Amino acid sequence: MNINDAVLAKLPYYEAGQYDIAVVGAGHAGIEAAMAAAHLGASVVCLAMNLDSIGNMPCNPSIGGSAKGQLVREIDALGGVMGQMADRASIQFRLLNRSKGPAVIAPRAQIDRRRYQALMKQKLEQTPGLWLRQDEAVDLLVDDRLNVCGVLTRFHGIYRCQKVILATGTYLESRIIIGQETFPSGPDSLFPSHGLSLALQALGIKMQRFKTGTPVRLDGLTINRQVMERQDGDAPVASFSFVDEAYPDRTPELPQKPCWLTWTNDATHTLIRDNLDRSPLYSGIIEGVGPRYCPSIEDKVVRFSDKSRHQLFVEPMGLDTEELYLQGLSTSLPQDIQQAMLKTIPGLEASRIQRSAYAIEYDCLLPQELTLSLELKAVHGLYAAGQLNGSSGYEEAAAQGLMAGINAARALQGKSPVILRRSQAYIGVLIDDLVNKGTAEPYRMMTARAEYRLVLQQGNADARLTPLGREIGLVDDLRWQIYEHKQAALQTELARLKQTRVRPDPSNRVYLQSLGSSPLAGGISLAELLTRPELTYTNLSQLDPDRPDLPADITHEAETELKYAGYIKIEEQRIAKFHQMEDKLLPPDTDYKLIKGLRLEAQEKLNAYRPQSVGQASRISGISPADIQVLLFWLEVRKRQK
Amino acid sequence: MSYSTIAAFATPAGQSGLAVLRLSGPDALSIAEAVFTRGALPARPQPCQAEGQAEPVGQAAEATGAPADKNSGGNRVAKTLSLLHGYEACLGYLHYPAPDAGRVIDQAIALRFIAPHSYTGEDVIEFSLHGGLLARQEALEAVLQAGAEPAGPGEFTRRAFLNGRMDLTQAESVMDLIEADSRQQAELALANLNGQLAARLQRLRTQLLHLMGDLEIDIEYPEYDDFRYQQSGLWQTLTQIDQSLGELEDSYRQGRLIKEGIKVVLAGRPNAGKSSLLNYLTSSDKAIVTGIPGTTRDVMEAGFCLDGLALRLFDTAGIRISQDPIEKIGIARARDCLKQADIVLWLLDEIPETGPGAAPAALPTPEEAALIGSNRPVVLLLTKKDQRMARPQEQAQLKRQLEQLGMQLAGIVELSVLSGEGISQLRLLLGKLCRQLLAQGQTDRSLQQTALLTRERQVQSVREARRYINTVLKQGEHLPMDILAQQLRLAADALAALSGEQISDSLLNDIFSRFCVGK
Repeated sequence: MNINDAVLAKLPYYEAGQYDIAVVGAGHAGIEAAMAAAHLGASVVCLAMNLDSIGNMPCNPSIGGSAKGQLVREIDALGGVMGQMADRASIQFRLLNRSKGPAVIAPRAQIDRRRYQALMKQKLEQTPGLWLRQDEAVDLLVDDRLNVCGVLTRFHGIYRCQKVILATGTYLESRIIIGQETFPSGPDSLFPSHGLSLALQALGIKMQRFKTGTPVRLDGLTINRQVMERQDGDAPVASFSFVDEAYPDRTPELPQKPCWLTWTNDATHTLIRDNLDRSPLYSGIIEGVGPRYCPSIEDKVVRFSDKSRHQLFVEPMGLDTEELYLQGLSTSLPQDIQQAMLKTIPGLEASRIQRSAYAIEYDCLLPQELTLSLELKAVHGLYAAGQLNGSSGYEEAAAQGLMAGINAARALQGKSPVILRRSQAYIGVLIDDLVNKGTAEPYRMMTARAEYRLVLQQGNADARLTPLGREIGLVDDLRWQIYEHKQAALQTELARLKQTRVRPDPSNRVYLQSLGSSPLAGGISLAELLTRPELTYTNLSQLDPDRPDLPADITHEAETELKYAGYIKIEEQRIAKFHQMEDKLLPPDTDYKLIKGLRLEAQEKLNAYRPQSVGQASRISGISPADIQVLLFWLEVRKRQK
Repeated sequence: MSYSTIAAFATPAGQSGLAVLRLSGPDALSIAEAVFTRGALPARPQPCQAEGQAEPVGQAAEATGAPADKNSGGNRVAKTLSLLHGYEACLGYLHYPAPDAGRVIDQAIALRFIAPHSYTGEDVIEFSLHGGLLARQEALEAVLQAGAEPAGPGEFTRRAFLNGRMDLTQAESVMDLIEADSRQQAELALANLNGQLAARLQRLRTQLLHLMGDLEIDIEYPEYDDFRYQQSGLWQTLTQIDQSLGELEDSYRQGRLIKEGIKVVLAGRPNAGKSSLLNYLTSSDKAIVTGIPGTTRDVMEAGFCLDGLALRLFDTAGIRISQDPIEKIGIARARDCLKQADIVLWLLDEIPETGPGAAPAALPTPEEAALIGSNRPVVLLLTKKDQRMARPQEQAQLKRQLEQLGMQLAGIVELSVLSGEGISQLRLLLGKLCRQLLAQGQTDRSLQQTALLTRERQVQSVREARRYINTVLKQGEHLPMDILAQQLRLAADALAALSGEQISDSLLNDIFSRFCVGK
């Protein structure tokens, strides 16, 4: 049941306060949403069921990785907070995929999660216009015209507001499953949230049930590191944040820690196979849909029975604890089997479990219920972000939170929403995929999902998004100065590389030959030389004695821009083609039943999805190229009738 | 407003006196300039040793009064189409784009329309050329090579409407076009994706997806040691894929045999009776039959049905040395035509002398024999049988001579178009050869399945895919993984266009079904 004034009159309640925006949840999505909205001038209350779990990482104690690292760079480039806090709380930093090309290089860091939470809480506290409040939202106030106008809490408080951003993560009606035991619980045994899911369904919003899982946590003093492979981070460290990157000699704030690698074996697998009947996944206790890319160990053993071993990563949970996270051994098998499993694994034979692995099921909404601005189609002023929208991962959540916060704040000021395109940012791909295609499993960002991956580099996220962030009002003066300074230096270096010419002489002939490159036929610019696949900015230094001393991010960008120019051009042509259809906007009030020539299926799909552009319509499954032609035609007729 | 430039014939398909090729879109002018040169036709450089064989020249040119090129030497007029105003036309000739700009196609008139004052409301160039099928095919091929895309059915009209060049009352007919288009596409997609093509494409796609999966898993999960990408298998698999795609591309020819008919080319010296035979077989008066050598200046084409198989007869200009620029094009085209023939009928109107020193003029020259090659069946036709019979020794001698030229003689038929004698024998022989052709290399498959690729668009997709694959094959190990993945993805996208599937979904499915990852 939803609350309106009539219902309210019969309820005991108190007025808990008046705000522009209420953000429900203070996880990675809620943090970015609240912070962005407050920075854009809204007064924001951020409700969390437990203020000690702000910015919690109930799964991996890490941020970034392939595609996820790119998301963090984009969040940072727009003026979000995740990158800077992750830089400060990191205890191991690595740039992954360094040798595989600039489009797929990705930063990843191990995080001291308690430190991260403390930093985040203080950051929220210090943000003007933003108030934290420990409270549980159980229902929404919605007026007769389906505008959201407040939030009701468990303790009968009413927060009056014009916009609500839901960022409730995996807490809605969640339950934890370990073996045959199951109990209502949020992640990390925090309280689950009851009632809000029903409230959403009462508003006609469709929900689905997802499942995810997390591995055991071990006592670090009980493992044998001698038999495991050590994995250290990079030195010097790179950064998530473009602001931190401007200080290339930055030393990490916290001491750095290694990870450790080990493997499962036949004994582990036999044990699992022998006890499959005790797995809730196979006995039918778990109903939720789990992600394919995060299978539990029993899933891996069943589906990939020919693999003789699976890799495990032992990751530090923080500096002030010995607790370790065992990536790769996510399971919902009973506790006694979990213990027995560890005894079979080299280095973990004598290890003690601190926390058991578990599976968790939760309600989330069908992302097709959203518009690209992350506002619900059914209720005006109601936004949703994060795992509630069917995604998985801290970075995916933060990205959506940021956009929901920006768009809710802009809506207050009567400004149009900011919608990033697939060709512009991973954030655009993420939201576009969710909203247009929906998802049948928790959605994880992957670089392969981006058809314009070559232009969506982590290194150029600032060039792609910081001017937009400045225009929106999230990019402060310091970040803007850093950005302008970097772009100026980059342009100078690009011009220098294009103008500086190298003439053939005996010494460069020998040098080029030693690099497997053909000798020069005549004078050639350094820029042209860089297009040779075997030459790099670094190995060209001998032919470029007057080279200025520049920070690595600038030389990297310059090299990439020159080297990839031909391939980028192909991408830009594809993007121009793509934008043609994205620019054709469909009026929001269209009744597609009235458009002659559309097939029935198309009419129904379009009425349900309500796409914002012809391009978006073309990505909805079941919409054919002929339907798109009809839409184009209809748009033209409409334009002329006006 | 459109991004692409499209091309298609605005005149109906089939033989006609004139054909109009329309180019519409932002690049219409630049594409037109790549394939069209203003001014008179260039003269072809003549092979020196051919002088002795030269036939009397001049008659044909005088007969029509066509402008002979006085400044033979191929100097081209540099003025470009961009100097034309809207609605202004100029004379010139069509040729292939660089680097084959020397391959002249036909004389043509170019007419320029400047946006928005055109049928489609975009920049438009229309070429009027002679209506021969070969010229039409070549002209379309040339503009596609220069960057145009083949227009879909009704696409000009659709663009015209979208660009405001039609009023609302015409809207209904546009809707019909769109509907018809989608129906046709659906039918085509069904027909084409049945059976063999679908199976082959599926196999290639799976191979390609596997390669991409190997790359992607390493990119997405760099922390796993098990998923290190191994380059070794890539080149081998890609080479295989490229080969298979090449076969598909070749099968376009096979597909064309069914769809467009088997190409039977009539060849021989001028006045050997080629036009008369064409007229007889197709019972029409398409070719102007006169006794003046060189009357057939263009390749004439006519359809003809034999035992339920579609045949296309091509009557070529007699191959000889000529100064007449237009006739020279006809002769050049006759050469191209020979190269593309499925079956060659070589006509002889007189039985050559067999003694020493006798002129072998009536048989193919070594150049022609090379064009025909050893794989094409050649039927020798002794025409004007009413005038003289060939003795068996003479027939044996002819067979020997042809074999010496490296040709495959499929039979000798003596016939007369006046009496009709020998025609049924020719039909029998042709029928047998056609069935052999269709069955070639496809012994246990039905004829239907040999039609793999049947549309220019499909071949374009296959060629595009091969282009990306070849970038990878050429650049080799220096390509970083992100570029490599991009090229493979573009290739897969091009192939997906054939079947209408989305790559990214299949890719992820492939990855998750093959690799074991996760926390």
